[in-house]
Amino acid sequence: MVRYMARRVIVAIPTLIAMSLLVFAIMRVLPGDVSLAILADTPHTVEMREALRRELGLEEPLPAQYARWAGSMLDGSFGGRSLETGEPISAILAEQLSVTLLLAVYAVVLSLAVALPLGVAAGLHRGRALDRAIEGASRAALSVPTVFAALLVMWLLLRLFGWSPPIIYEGPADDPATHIQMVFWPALLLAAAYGPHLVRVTRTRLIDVLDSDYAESARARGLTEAHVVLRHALPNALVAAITVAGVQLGALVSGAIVVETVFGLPGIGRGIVHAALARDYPVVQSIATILVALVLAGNLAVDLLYSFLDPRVRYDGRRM
Amino acid sequence: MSAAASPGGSAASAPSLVEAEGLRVHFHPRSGLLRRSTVRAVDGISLVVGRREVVAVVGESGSGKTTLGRALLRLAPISGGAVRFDGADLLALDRPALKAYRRRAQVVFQDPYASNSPFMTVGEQLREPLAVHGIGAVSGREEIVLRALEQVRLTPAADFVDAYPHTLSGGQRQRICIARALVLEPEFIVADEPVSMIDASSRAEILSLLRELQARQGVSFLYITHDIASARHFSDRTTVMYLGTAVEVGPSAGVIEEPLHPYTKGLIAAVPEPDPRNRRRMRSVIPGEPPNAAAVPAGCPFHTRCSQVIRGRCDRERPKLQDVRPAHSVACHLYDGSV
Amino acid sequence: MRGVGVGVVLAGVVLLVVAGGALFADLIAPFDPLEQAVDRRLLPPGRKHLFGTDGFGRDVLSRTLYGARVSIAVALASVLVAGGAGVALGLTSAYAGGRYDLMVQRGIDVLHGFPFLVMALIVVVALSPSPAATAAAIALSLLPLVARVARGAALSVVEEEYLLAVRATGAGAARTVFRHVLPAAGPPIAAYLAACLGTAVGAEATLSYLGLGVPPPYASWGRMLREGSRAYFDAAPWVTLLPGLVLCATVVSLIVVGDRLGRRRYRACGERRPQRVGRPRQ
Ligand SMILES: Nc1ncnc2c1ncn2[C@@H]1O[C@H](COP(=O)(O)OP(=O)(O)OP(=O)(O)O)[C@@H](O)[C@H]1O
Ligand code: SF4
Ligand SMILES: [Mg+2]
Repeated sequence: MVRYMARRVIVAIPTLIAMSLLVFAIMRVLPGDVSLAILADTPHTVEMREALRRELGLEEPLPAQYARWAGSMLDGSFGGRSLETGEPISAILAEQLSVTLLLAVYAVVLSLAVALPLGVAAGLHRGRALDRAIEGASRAALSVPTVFAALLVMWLLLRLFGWSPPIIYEGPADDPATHIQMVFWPALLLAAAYGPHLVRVTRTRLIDVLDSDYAESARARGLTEAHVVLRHALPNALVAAITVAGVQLGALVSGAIVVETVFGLPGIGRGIVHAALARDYPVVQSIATILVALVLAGNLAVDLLYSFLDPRVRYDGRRM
Repeated sequence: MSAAASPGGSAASAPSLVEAEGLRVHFHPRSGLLRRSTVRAVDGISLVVGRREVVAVVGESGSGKTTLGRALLRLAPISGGAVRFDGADLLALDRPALKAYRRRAQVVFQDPYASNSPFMTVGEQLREPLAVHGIGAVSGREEIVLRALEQVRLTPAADFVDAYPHTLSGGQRQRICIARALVLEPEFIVADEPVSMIDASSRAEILSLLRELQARQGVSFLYITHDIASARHFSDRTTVMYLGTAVEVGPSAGVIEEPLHPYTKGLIAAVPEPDPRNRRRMRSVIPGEPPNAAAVPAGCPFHTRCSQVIRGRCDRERPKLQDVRPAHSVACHLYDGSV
Repeated sequence: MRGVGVGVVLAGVVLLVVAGGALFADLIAPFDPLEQAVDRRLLPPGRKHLFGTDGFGRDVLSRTLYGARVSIAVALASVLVAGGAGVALGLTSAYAGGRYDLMVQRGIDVLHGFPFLVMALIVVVALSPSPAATAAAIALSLLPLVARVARGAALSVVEEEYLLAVRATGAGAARTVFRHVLPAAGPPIAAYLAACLGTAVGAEATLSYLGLGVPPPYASWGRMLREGSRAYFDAAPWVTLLPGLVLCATVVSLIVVGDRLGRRRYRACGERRPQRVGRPRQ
């Protein structure tokens, strides 16, 4: 078991390196001259550009640039400072990451809390009105663009309650009431984009188990339907839902970028958008890499959890 | 069909059409993240198919029959050994020569449901090989197709040309597969269990059709089957295969009526009883684990299941094929010194 | 045709209307989308201005119609690029197998590991905002999805025995892929691409809303969401919500149609082959 886990972790490393290389390549190689892009909107002299190029280390060969940047990602300086404010990127991260992580946790908890019962209900009422209603609702939630949903919610809150989100963000410990006011709707919207996948997989797996020969034989042995559902179908469906929760983490990050911006939450999603608008290359590059690494780590964690929950996963890594 | 198009251009003086020597096909499926296992599907088999000859290959599921047939057509990756067709080394064929070879050697698969393209009419499927090889003028192909359909007794042929496979029965589909092989007028056909997935009622018909084609057109066949009785009927010689090797080779009558190898004896004692849940496989009736090409035992590959195993010998030394009767050889230590 | 629900019909109508509106915007649009007029600023929806007017007095309906052009063009371009590259990668890797397939798969995995918006964001930043950059960003995000679906669809065909039969006749790779793999794998891929178009329209709107999509002179839907919601969301919500509603209807319709296409069985008569429990090959 430990060996299996160790192997999964080790295998993730080259993937992470490839991903960081890709970010680096897109940011540096693709556009040609970064310094030109940064200065595009401002009048500038050749000297200014050269100073900027030196500051960014653009005179070095690309492999050296990558090595320096990758090293800084590892030693905790995360690529240096913001071009816009001069603030260390590590400080930006320290400030913003917790907001987004909290938001993500709320959204995951919320969607599990809603999606699992819905998925189970749909599976048990398969083909009937309830099932179809749940399927319709999850499909709608899945296809409505999050931007539009967020704007609509914002407007409804404004219209119906004259409410708009507090301007200043407060941590959960500092001012719980403001905190909850501020994160509740974004978390709900995120959950709406994220939960339908869980509803579907829960329903499908539940039905699979209920239809299996195994369940059939359990019934034949005189076990009650409740027993079959509770002891066999549910645990199975749960494990499947958790796996999908891992696979969909990327969607959660995309969603967070949108809702944080709409609701003015000072998280890393809004941070990366802000940096992108300011052409703050080092910040965009580092935050993007960190988001990707977080998703990868989340996937890995879910994978390990899954192998822990589902003893059928063989420890020698022979899966798929 | 003239022999002038023979790959490599070697003279047609050799009496046999297909010759395999020590042929090996090993697969290396991934079994771990980095590890690969070795599946010895075909493991050093030698085999000869003469002109106009029908050679049957029998053996349990997993003994490598299908892989052998595919390797002879270069449809499976050959890992070692040699195959010659009409004297030419198959492994040395370049792309055009391989294409020429495909015209001379054809195949009929086991599963007529899987081996027809669901998106093409019968006519389109039969015309395709002609188009690939540029045979006949486009307008003349229709006639070739009709003739092939008549040969496999799908009459009136014109009714079948525009049919899609899903409207046909299994037996009819298999006839289409045979017709598809025939339009190229091949010299050699690998028939891989051509009747095992067909309704019992059409089996005999298809077999007699194949036999008739063989007699009339002088096609050589490699007839792969589970069904020893049909091998006796249809073939001149029989090769019994176990875990990728030939354990007994001889005239079909001799092999089936007076088997030498303990494995052959076991096969014959076992009534070929099709597994009703799975038409592709035969229920294993010889005691012991069914053959697993990923773990071929040392020594005689059959020693783990053989009732006559000679301890200390069979598990150490792999028996070689040796002639025990005229043209009838066996790979078994029981016959050591009896030559 | 059996089983075409109300939803699908409705989605089709929506798509026809939107496509028609975009194509014939010059003819249909009641006003010049760029024409400003101080005297009719922020008019609510009414008879003259069906969707109202924005802060510059521009007619929101006209802007929505012209905006459709930009949004749909960007989405179409990105799906075409992602579709072309993804299908090529998916089909060839499924057909060729081996080391090439493994390499392509690893590459796809790496791309797939990026959250959709993160990938789009870095590409847009690297290229500087323009319609082409937006399309490229969306295309790169879609690429791994399309390639996976195409590979999967092709793989189920490649494993069919009839492809081996085709190979046995001497047909070359090109013929096999185009004549045999594509017809079978095509319909599910096409269905997926339709749904991708929905995703792409949504992605364009999101990027433009964030200010990272189509830059100012182009009035894409996302751009309208951004302008409307920042300046006078409270006073004139229609400027934001009405184009948003059109956007939403378009995205949902595309997904519904894609879903519907995907559920059509591609084996014409729905016949099942006799079940085979164990195939000899792994
Ligand atoms: N592409 C492949 N990759 C890995 N293993 C394979 C492959 N093809 C065949 N094998 C293995 O090789 C062995 C021989 O298979 P083969 O299909 O040739 O047997 P067979 O005698 O035709 O069996 P059957 O009677 O079931 O058709 C089996 O263990 C099979 O699993
Ligand atoms: S060699 Fe030995 S084990 Fe093998 S078949 Fe003969 S007697 Fe049995
Ligand atoms: Mg076989």
